[in-house]
Amino acid sequence: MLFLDELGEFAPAVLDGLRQPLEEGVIRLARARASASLPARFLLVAATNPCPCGGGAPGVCECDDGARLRYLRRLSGPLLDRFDLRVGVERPTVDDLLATGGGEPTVVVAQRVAAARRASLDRIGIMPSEIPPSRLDELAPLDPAARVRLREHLESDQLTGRGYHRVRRVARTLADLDGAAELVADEHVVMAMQMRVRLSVSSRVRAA
Amino acid sequence: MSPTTTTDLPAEAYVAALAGFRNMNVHRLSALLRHHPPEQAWAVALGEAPTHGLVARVLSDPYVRASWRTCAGERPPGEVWARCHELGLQVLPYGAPGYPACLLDDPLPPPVLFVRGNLGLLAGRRVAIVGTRNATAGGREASRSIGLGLAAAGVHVVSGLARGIDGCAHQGVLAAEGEGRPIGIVASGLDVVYPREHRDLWQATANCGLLISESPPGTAPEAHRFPLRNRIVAALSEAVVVVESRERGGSLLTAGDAVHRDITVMAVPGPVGRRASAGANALILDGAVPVTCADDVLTFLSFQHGHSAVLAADLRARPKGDDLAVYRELQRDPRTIDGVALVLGLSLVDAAMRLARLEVAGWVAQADGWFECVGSPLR
Repeated sequence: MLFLDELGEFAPAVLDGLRQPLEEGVIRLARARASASLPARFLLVAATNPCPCGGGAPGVCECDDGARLRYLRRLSGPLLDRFDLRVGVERPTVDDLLATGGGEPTVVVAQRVAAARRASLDRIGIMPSEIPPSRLDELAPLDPAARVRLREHLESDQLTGRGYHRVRRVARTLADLDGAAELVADEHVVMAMQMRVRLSVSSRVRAA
Repeated sequence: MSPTTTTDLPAEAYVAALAGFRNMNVHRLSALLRHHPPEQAWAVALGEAPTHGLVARVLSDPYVRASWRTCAGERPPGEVWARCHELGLQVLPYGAPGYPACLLDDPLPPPVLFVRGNLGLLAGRRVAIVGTRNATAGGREASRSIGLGLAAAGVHVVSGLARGIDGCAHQGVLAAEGEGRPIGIVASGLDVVYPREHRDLWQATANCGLLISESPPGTAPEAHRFPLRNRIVAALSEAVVVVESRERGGSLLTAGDAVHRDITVMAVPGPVGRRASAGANALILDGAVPVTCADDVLTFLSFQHGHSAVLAADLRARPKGDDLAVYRELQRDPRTIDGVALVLGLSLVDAAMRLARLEVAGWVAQADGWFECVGSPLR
């Protein structure tokens, strides 16, 4: 597992170097006399502020669009597209920080994850993340409402081809967590889409 | 070395070229042009002609004079003039025929204006709409709807064509079916579109309204030019409406310019504690007229106006039951999906479904993980 904190502070070339191993699960080294392939299957987790000031709700951020643009330009579209989950996190309030009741214990969550993994293995023999694009319809079929929903997202350009495959795998995973229904339901697709936050200056500018 | 001074150039060519010098400013250019005819002012600026003591004092900095000589070589009047001509700009030195009457007795009148579009609009009723570039969706909507309402009532809308509030005001004007037109005052040269994503808006403003700059073509949108631009926005308006502004936003400078010129300042109030409205709320505390819609502004201008028949019927399906609760919450504050789930005590999936329905129907939009209400508010 590779955790990159402050993703926005890495040099763009370094980040784009991650694309190929992320996609293929191997690192290819080519030198003058030799080349080698090293196994590199890893889980990439990254955190970033949305802008130099740390951001916050719309209208709160200190940065002008130019500063945001320079900051976000480091995160290329193709790189962001390769994240299965992109989740926005609200800044904790004072009450949150002082609250003593913790969230759900990790043990409980781990049990749920283990159950979902077992369910997937029992059903199709592999993890949803390993389903090749060509077999998505066979191994992770959608119910009609979910199919319509995805078509709408694709037609409105909110989803790339690569993103489409990723959303389907995430939706299948959510279905497994939900008790392994045979078909992926609309709500799983919606949830998967909501976990692909659009991170851009242009979304705000275009909305302006 | 003397730069080309061809005698068949009009006087405006020299004014335009002088205005484009580095380290030229309103005071220096005004001093030059008040005491010398343009061609002579050009020679004085280059140190090739004598001048009076007063002008000499204003121009005494040797570093400035040196940079002017460089500029004169780089962009001679003939070249600047050809560029203005090519872009179809009118060049109006102070006091020239067509120079806006309301700027003649301004405390800091622009020595020259570069203009595209219909100057006749300045004879109509004019209200400025200004505000932060970093606007909330609610602020953008207010700006758009006030712009639309004013234009529908035949009032021209003056603004700075900046991102956020400014741009939305003019989008509203362009969407209106009325006599009101956009009047854009910009800080860069009229061939330097800034921000670039407003290219279409600039074009539309020049085509059906009026576009004005104090700077000649080729001038970059340098930071110091924006506060100066703001004074022209204020000076050309009968009232200035501040829609959203930070506690120290540039639109507060515009409001200050308006007060200085005895022009009414209005402000759209916002929630207490919301940063984007801090400046507007402070203005109201200082005595600005609170307004929430175009009708409020029109009432103040003692306009005869019918009810806002201009607002098109909202075709979006009204959110029902559970979705309405989410919409109302987002009207109070922008939220992430987690925030919506926590505040309303929903499961994540439930929150996701409701947000998706609202998004599809066009009531909310998401950017950077934040959901905000968009479009005209649900009544």
